[in-house]
Amino acid sequence: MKVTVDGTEIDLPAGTSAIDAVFSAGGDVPYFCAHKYLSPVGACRMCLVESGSPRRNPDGSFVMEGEGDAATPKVFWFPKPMASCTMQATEGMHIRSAKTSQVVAKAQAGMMEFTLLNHPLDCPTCDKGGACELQDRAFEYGYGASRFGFDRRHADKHYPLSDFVILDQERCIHCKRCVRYFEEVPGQEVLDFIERGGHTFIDTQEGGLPTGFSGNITDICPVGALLDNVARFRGRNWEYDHTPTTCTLCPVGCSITVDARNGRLERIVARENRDVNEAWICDAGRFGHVFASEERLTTPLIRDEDGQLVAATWDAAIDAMKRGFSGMRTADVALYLGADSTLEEGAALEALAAATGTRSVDHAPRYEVSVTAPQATLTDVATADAIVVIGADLGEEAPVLELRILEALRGGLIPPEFAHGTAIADLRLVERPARRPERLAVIGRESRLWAHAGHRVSADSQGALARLTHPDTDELRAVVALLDGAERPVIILGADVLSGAGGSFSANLTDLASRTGARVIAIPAAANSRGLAALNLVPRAGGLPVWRAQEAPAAFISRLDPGVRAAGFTVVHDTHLTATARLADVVLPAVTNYEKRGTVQNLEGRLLPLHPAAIQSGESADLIRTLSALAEALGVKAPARGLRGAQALLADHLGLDLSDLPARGALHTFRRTFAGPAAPHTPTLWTERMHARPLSWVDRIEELVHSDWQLPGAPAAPPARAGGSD
Amino acid sequence: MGVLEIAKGMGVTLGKLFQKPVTVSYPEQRATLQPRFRGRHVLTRHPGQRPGELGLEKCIGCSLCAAACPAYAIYVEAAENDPANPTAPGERYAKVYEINMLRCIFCGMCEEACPTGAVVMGNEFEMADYRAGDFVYAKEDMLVGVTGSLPQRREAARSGKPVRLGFQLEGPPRAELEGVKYP
Ligand code: SF4
Ligand code: SF4
Ligand code: SF4
Ligand code: SF4
Ligand code: FES
Repeated sequence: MKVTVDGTEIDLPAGTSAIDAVFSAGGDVPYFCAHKYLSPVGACRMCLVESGSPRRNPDGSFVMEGEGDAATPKVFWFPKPMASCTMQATEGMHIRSAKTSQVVAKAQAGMMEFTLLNHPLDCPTCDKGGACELQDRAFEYGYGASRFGFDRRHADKHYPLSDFVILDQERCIHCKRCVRYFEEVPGQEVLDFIERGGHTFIDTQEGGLPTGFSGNITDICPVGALLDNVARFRGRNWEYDHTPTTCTLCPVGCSITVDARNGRLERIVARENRDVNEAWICDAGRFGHVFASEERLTTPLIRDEDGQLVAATWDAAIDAMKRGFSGMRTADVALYLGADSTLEEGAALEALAAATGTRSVDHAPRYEVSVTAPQATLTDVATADAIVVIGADLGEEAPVLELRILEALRGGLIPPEFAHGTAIADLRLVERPARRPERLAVIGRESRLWAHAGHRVSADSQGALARLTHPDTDELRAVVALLDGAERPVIILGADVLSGAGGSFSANLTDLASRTGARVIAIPAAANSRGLAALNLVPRAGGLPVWRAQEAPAAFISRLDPGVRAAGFTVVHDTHLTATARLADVVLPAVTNYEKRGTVQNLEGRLLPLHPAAIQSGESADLIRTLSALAEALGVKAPARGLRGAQALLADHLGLDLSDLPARGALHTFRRTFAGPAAPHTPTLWTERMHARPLSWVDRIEELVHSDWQLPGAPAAPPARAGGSD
Repeated sequence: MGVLEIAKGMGVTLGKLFQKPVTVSYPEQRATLQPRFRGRHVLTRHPGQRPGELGLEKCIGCSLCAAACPAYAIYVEAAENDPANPTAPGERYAKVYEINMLRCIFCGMCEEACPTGAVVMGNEFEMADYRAGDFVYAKEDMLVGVTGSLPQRREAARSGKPVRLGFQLEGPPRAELEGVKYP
């Protein structure tokens, strides 16, 4: 399809919107309401362009202009500028943006003036200032001066929609992104416009926003109307150190940007990754970062004469470890690590275990089964035509996977990608999309996904897989029929199936997958459980797993909190003074995953890079450097002293080249995985240290907002609470 | 060069010798500053509700002064106002406001950037001190009503005498320095 933009002819795939045509031609159009992953609605009228198309005569030939050979198809221009986000580019269309059209430039400046009519322009106190689409576009396309000398609209400037999201109704420009987001992405119809015209404001009738994915509206609001209450007034956008990295709170591995200022982690925002999280992250990933800058261990701790833990230097800690381990065989020291450690850290620990000869090596949490059925990717999930979720509470295990499932239910339309990035307006996406709940079956306990599923089977998840091979109820037969009738079915397995699975699990799964042609996602127990399974980090014959750490003669426990100490000398490496750390003889300070360089593997097998944010953590060290200190204390040679060394180990053992991982990550399947008996595991997303509520006078207003106050005489309604599901 | 030229030159010299000098013997005498002199910053306040009452701080903690500063001399940390007991009008105020006077080049860009007229270049300039750390002026050292630099106030506290400023103005401080009075 040939389209002429500002005089340049370009070739575009059919169905492209006019706004993407302009961007593809290297041009620019200001826009507020269009969003890459939301339906275009044409609410803001900022994306105006002039456009026209040739017409055909009844005989099929073009209506021509000019004489003889110089004749060209005549372009019939629309009489007025058109919104480019809701207009499809067609064959032979001509588009003029503000670059070449005075009419468009004037219309956009006028539209900008109209948008700014009731905007308070309190940029200095607005947390969006410096990263605000309205600011930027007003600068680029506005008149530059205001002709408006009257009082502006006044509305509530401090309206907490939930604990985490705060609304300034004066700043809203009515782009409807937030409303469409809730309807289209998590499928929760909570926000809407109230009143009309200049009085329009957004609000919810539910007494708060549903938990789970509410924070995304603070990213997509083009102005500072919806803001992150955790990061409120913590810094201006240009003052933050932005670090693109990967969230490791759950095995989805969403791409995030960590914003730190003065060594404190202040804010996390979503980063686009088409293959993983599109543009969305969950509330835990966004708001649950407080622990990274609170009550951190910053120096090693050793026991003094009174048996108290006191701060010490690393040298003193190494000496204390030497004394503690003296007279012991190196093979007596059990080595345990948390399963959200990076692959590099895992490789360093595997190598140290080989050097010391210990049999007690373990990582946790993990499941004892390894899944050999064909792997589904997150894009497979989003484009599947049948999804069966067994024994998973996605809200706790892998929240963004839930969004990808819902994406499949509304048609699995993934916006195309252009040279300028994901399509800004994908015209196939429509407001209030038709949903196909019959494509989703949920088996197991009730969860948030339940509300979206066409087939719900309350059943014991463990037995469900076996029962699916020989369905014994109509419900299960319907699920099997769903899988059989689908072309691209996906099976998702959660903790209720995987934890403690054994016996015929693998056989049943392989059988079901091969019979139905389904691809499988088995949600790993922790952020990097899947990657660490490729390393020999499970107890060797006769070795002790983590849950028997108290029987070990001595132990080194990294970022795990089993709550027990080894029989003998115990070293704990952690970010906070956990219950286990309180029992330890030596505590070494660890860095969080926000401060690491390394690689993790998510639930679909994608290797994703971690980059260190500028967070103050004193003398904390990652596991690789900590292990070299431990090796020194044990008197063995450290197999890796830094990241490069650990990556060389991975290259040697697994043939993995991690030096040049693309920002979007890369799919990788390890040939071999190690598994072994594992402790039962129930995933929880929010841990105690993450759960800090923003403390401010918002809390007091909160009480008023959420009190069970009613209109006098109104029928009694059940009290609404923030945090309910939709 | 003739004798005449030498005599002319000496004439000028002699003439100047008996004129009133344009210099002052600072610090015994006070220097007279020009109205637009750019000295140590003052953080101004809004007028109080009643006479004698301290008004709210004008600074809203927006960090625009810090962004404008070519010497990276300013550090601002904002916080949310307690509506019952606000520090500044609106939702936001500067919890921490510091200027490193060693870095500052007294260009006045901060004053120009400030949307509320909170930070204004004042007239004080006698800030010589011994330790680098003492050149970081906090909000308490710059809010209107504070007279004298850190070393001057330290000296005054030690000796029990009021701060003695080494300058004087012709007329009152300029209008932007709302509320500033020099003894
Ligand atoms: S609050 Fe923000 S996202 Fe929602 S309609 Fe207003 S401007 Fe748009
Ligand atoms: S879904 Fe998982 S990886 Fe993504 S932001 Fe939430 S916790 Fe982090
Ligand atoms: S006067 Fe200039 S150098 Fe000094 S703080 Fe202000 S902007 Fe920075
Ligand atoms: S002095 Fe002015 S520019 Fe600086 S933070 Fe305060 S209000 Fe903003
Ligand atoms: S009308 Fe808002 S982007 Fe097109």
